Amino acid sequence: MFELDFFIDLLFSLPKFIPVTLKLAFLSLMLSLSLAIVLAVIRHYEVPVLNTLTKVYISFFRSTPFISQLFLFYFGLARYVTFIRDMSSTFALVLILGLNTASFMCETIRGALLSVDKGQVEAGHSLGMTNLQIMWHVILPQAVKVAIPPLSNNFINLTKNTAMGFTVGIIDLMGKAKLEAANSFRFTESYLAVLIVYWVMIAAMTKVQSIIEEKLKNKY
Amino acid sequence: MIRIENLHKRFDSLEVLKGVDLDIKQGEVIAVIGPSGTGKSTLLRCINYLEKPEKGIITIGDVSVDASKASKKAIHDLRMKTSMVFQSYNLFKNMTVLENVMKPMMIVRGVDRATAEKTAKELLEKVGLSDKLDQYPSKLSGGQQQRAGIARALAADPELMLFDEPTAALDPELVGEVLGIIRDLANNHRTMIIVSHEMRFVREAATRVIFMDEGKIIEEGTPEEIFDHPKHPRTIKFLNMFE
Ligand SMILES: Nc1ncnc2c1ncn2[C@@H]1O[C@H](COP(=O)(O)OP(=O)(O)OP(=O)(O)O)[C@@H](O)[C@H]1O
Ligand SMILES: [Mg+2]
Repeated sequence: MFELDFFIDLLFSLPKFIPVTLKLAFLSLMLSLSLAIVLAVIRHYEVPVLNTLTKVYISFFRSTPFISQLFLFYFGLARYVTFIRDMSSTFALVLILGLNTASFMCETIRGALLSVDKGQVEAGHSLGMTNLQIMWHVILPQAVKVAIPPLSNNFINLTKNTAMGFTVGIIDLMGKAKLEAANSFRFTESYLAVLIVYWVMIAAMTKVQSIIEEKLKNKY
Repeated sequence: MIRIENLHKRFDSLEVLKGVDLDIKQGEVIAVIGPSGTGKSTLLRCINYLEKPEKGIITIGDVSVDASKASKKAIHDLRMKTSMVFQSYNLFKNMTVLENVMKPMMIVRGVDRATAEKTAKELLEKVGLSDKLDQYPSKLSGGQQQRAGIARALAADPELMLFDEPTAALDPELVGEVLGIIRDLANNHRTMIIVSHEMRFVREAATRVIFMDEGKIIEEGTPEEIFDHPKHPRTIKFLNMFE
């Protein structure tokens, strides 16, 4: 039987763990976004050697499951490398999730850089601007506008992926729900409650995303 | 003093410039005419190294760049002496009209904001855009965008201005407003090279006309010499198309 009281209690106690999930998401976002910008610029200018390494990196992280990457790192490599062994599970999750998401964001940003027409770059050169000045003052501001909608989708995927944290022992939304389920054997109630909390949270994020996009659209 | 010596440029197997020589005196207004695909745009683009020529020396004032050993620094110095007005305007789309003119001054030459803004406003007034300062390029007509492009090029205070078919992308009724501004600059003895198919304008505004064909300068002279008494058969044939 569906235990309604248990379900409702859990529905109202789970949101306490939203900050844990959001913290994981934001830390991974910071890491993935900064890395992705650097990688996208490397790809854009086809920097020798680094460009090839970046391609391999992207291919690896995009073509393998996140959970396998996390396990190899946290359970596999940790046996040989002390600093991974001593690492907190939060740190490990943020690191691998950041590296993983960067491989998606890099391609998004690269596409956005390409969307700025070559004429503007030539205008910059003809005025004596350097590549870096053109990148910073002309290309990036326009690329950001193009990239924000797909990047916020990347971010939403990232937020959902934080739920994998329970596999390395993080008590976030999913981790808490898993614990409750295991202790009470009330799997339906527990997992339904956590899904609803995720749903409301992500729906709210999607709303914020569309407000930001609307704001940007009117600028130029 | 501006001097172009023995300029060569090829795209793979296609030889586009086959040794162009050109001396330009301060205040001259040079018009370059010629058939399509002759290398007129390529010539302008090589002069400020948007294309890198294989061979040739370009000298503008105290800067001289030899293509066989052109350093980044030399190319930058050369670009500081020239500025280009493009057929497709190429305004920075993320900047307002005012910013398009003042930001490059601040970024490239380190001019302080107040001075840059003052200069930019003066230049934009000259091209009749005082009421469009805070508009983004996407909100402007082609003619207005091109006038902003001219103001931006002027802001670089160049010794040589390069115009590559500045009115070719414009609706016919907008051509006049842009040509009017270029004519004013010509009357004020700004040194410039203009590639244009607007023969009437060329005749009025240029001090010297250059006819290019197949990567070489075939004939040059005053507008009267070229338009009224062309000597070379290819010049005659080309001009006949405009009768
Ligand atoms: N980036 C490039 N790569 C390869 N070929 C090019 C490139 N730019 C120009 N060309 C070729 O070089 C030749 C000269 O081109 P250019 O644009 O200088 O001609 P133009 O005289 O300006 O012609 P138009 O009057 O049509 O503008 C053309 O055959 C053109 O196809
Ligand atoms: Mg051309």
